[in-house]
Amino acid sequence: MKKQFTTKTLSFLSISLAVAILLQIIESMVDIPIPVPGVKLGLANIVALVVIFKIGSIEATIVNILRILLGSILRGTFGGPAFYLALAGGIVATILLIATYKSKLFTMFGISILSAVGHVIGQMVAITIIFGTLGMLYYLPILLLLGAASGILTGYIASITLKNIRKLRV
Amino acid sequence: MQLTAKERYMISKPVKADKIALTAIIVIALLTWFFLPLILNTKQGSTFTVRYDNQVVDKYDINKENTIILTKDKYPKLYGDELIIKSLNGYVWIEKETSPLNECSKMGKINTTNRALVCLPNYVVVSIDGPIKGSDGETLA
Repeated sequence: MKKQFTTKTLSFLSISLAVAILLQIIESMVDIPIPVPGVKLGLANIVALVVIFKIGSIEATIVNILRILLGSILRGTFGGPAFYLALAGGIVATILLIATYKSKLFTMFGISILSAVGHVIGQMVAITIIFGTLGMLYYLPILLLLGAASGILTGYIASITLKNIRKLRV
Repeated sequence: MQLTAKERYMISKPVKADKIALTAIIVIALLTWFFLPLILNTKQGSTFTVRYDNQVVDKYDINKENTIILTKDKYPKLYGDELIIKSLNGYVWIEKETSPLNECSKMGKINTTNRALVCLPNYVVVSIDGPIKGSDGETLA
């Protein structure tokens, strides 16, 4: 049966997308004092976690892809290597987000951790293909650990957010 | 509005599956840390290659003092006006660049073949090559 979007659902998705783009842009301005390239907190993933929980996996995928596209256009990185890395990371992260959510084994913490690690792996694969160098693999262990740490943080924030917006019917 | 059992489970404290996943990631990271240098055949390189937008700019002797200046006139995709790469005594590093938060120059100095300086905002990659047979040790460029 074809899914019907209500005005409320569309409004919720639009606000979610705007918040995700805003978090992505704010995050790009935050300096994390670690000498490893590409380390980010992954705050925009909080929105994907909330959307998959409140609405569904297709909508979370749409929000994630649109966030990467629009965010890169607004930041002027569209079409460049940073865009393709974000896209690759976003696709793998979204696949793991959906798979772990549908498995019903994990709470928000597990889903968020595995999704964040998926983002790291997607970016590593893309960087190896785009630049033809295995040099970034040196950073893989630390990026995996930092990905897991950021996954715990975003999972915690998503969990709190969901508790606080549970009365919102969408 | 009451939460369903599934919703309560999803926003509950970490369960066993979460802890197993986290432990597995930590173990994989530590194993990768240990085994990756063996797989990537870590060794001191004799030369390094500078690439801009996937095109080789040139190869240089890593043991010699080199200062490579890439300017926006010749390399238009550079984020700022110029990017300076330096090498000395087997190490290569990005001395000066313009990028958001200066993340490229924070990568420090590298001296082994398993590492690379990847500067996405400037489309620049610096990688260290293995020893070249028959190299006379002179600066290549």
